[in-house]
Amino acid sequence: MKLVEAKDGLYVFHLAKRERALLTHVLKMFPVSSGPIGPLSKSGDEAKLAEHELALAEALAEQRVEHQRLMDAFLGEQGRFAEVKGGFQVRLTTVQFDWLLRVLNEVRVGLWVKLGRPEHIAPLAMSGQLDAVVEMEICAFFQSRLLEAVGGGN
Amino acid sequence: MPTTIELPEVSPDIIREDKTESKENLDPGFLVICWNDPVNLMDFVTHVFQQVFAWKKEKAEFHMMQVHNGGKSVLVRETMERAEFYVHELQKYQLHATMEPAE
Repeated sequence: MKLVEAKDGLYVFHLAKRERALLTHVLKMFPVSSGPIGPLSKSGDEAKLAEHELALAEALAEQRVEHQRLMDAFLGEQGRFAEVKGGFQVRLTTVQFDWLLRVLNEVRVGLWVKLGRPEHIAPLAMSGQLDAVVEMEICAFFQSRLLEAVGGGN
Repeated sequence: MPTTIELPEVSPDIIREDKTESKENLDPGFLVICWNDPVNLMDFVTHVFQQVFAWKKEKAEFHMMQVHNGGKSVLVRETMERAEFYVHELQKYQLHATMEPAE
């Protein structure tokens, strides 16, 4: 996945055929998790915070529904991946760009939560969790490519 | 000869609400803290801080490194309402953020 052009709030990326298949694969896994990554507070009054914890869970659930709707539109749109020599081109607005980063991260973090929040991820590949570890790495690969386009990345 | 018509007195259609905010809602007594985890990419965390707080990259990277090296970073001190808003925004990006009383 390479950045071809970034201009006027529009990003154009080139993807090899295999990359498109892998991106689609991990995106279709969404949503992986169903709750907040952590509590709203670690030290607040639990009874007092219960209502606020519920509000957080509701906000995240609403976001998942919206992301799912955007996902269906993204993957279902005719011409989303325009075929070019050696692969495909995908165009992203800044809003779609941020959304794609969020979804990839939600899949990656969701898999990590499902694996029991391990401190070290790589050893899990040797203990029957190879698929999840590889899928997390695929998400990280695309996240890094996207972040490089905005001046971050490895 | 024109006659004078007395118009009824009309007051503006404004209702004044004597709304009071609780001390908790006005007091910037809550810290928004981001905690380290082994899964979120460092550059992603920097990106999120830039997006959520509209920080420049240097400031966002500074706090990301605090999280990475020190296990946590206090991002802002805010009212309860604003702190809750920021925690929601950060958790929507899957960052482990909480709000804690400042004492």
